[in-house]
Amino acid sequence: MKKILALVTVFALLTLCFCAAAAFAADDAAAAEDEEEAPVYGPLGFVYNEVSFGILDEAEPVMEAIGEADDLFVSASCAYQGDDYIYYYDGLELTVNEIDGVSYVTGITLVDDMIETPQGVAIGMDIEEALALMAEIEDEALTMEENRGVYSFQYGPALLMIQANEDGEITAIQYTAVTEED
Amino acid sequence: MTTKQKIKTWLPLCLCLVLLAAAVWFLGRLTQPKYMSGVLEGAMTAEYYEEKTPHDVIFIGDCEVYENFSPVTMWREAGITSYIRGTAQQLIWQSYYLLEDAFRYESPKIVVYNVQAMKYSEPQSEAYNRMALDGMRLSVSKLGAVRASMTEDEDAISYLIPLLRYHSRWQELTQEDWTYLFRRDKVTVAGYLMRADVKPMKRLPSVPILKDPDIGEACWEYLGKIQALCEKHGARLILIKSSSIWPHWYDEWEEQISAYAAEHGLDYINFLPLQDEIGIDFTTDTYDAGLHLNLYGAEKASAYFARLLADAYGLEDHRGDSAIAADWEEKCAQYDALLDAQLRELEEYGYLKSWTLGNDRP
Repeated sequence: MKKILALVTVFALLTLCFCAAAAFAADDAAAAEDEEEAPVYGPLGFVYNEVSFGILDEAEPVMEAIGEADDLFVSASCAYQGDDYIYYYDGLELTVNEIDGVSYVTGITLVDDMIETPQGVAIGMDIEEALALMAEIEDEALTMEENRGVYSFQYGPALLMIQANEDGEITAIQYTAVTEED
Repeated sequence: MTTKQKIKTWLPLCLCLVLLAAAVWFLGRLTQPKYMSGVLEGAMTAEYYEEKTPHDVIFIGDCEVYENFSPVTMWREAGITSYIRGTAQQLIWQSYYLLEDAFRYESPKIVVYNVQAMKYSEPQSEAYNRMALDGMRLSVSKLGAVRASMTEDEDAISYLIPLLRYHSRWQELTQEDWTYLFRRDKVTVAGYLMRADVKPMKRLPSVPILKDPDIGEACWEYLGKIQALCEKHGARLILIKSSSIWPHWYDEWEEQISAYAAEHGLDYINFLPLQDEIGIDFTTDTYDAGLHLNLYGAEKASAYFARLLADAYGLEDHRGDSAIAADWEEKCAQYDALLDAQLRELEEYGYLKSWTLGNDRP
């Protein structure tokens, strides 16, 4: 009988130890992730107000550098825990999300033809012209695919999407972070 | 071994196991989030089981139902009994299983499904899964919902034994965990999560580019299952797109839903083009700049929908039924008290603090 009781006690203790170990393992994994370097977006960086930045850069220094936003829109996030913070700038919208307690740039949207990508792609441009400009990027890690008028360029965690209408005119340009949905 | 010896051997073992199970259950209850402040949405699923009278209409879907429709208004407008089994980011397979669960308790005449969540065809977030499913009573429906909803890192067993998931919360326990160890305050009235504050819509962000406009196969599969479930139980399914103007509802999605509804003999009502007819004004009728309606917008949408359901679908006016009316008068009183309390808070603080329908209400 004592053996059985001892076994039950050992089982209970092992269960609790397992729970504790799992918690510590999760903490360790989180710490290890924190130590990883920031993702590299390669040629899919962006320049605004002479400040270079890109997807998954820490948002605070970027926003300090590019200046104060005109306004802010907050909505529940589809891709991340918490909210999307969308800051309105002249010609630009910057989406920021908090990931593990740190705010990152997760989206850059060009809203008019006054702003262009570092490659020179802008809203209103002919898509063929834009594709020629993008083709000048010499980097094998950059991939491109097209789906019903949306041209998606991916480099690491960064995704640049260029949308063209039936006439081949670019109607929207957005940088986003690659999510599981993508 | 004699019977006495067997009892002597096994009784202590059984007692140990019972004690162990009780400890695991108790600690699970203690460490499980209570959702009584801050994020109230996690407390919504369980509230359904406290309903006393049946409903003619059951809403299923995400925040676009539990924020944008008020069952109390539908009662006051046309004597329609309704309940919103909505949860935050409720995915379509969760809607299906929550509806299946509801059919175990009652036989609604109309089921209303809000199609916004069909943008998601894969499990999204454990946090939202937990808010939708932890409150479900143990049943085949719950097991199905868990299986369909789990993200890669989740274990089904932790939905049945919460301690396995929440044990690490022991460091974060607050007074709320002890106060609500064995009880919960209500956070909704018939599934409606009230917000009486106003944040006008000023400027919406640019519409995100849709990389793939096709609604996923899993969504169509579950929509078919919802329709079949309704048919099996003699309920009529109505698809709606609620009044929220953000996140953006794409024309491509609208075309696919409309085509599906036409092909499968379903009614589909898109409230977006009806805003003027309903009277919704996004400078006064939203609490978060266009994402959700506030109380004033929800009451307008609900009054409109109630009239439509009464006129076009012939739903019965239950205000003459004393038992049902008594239950709804109680709900109306809770609703009015909640509104008064929210208005008082808005006057005092300028914003809504987190609180529930319980005795701790300020």
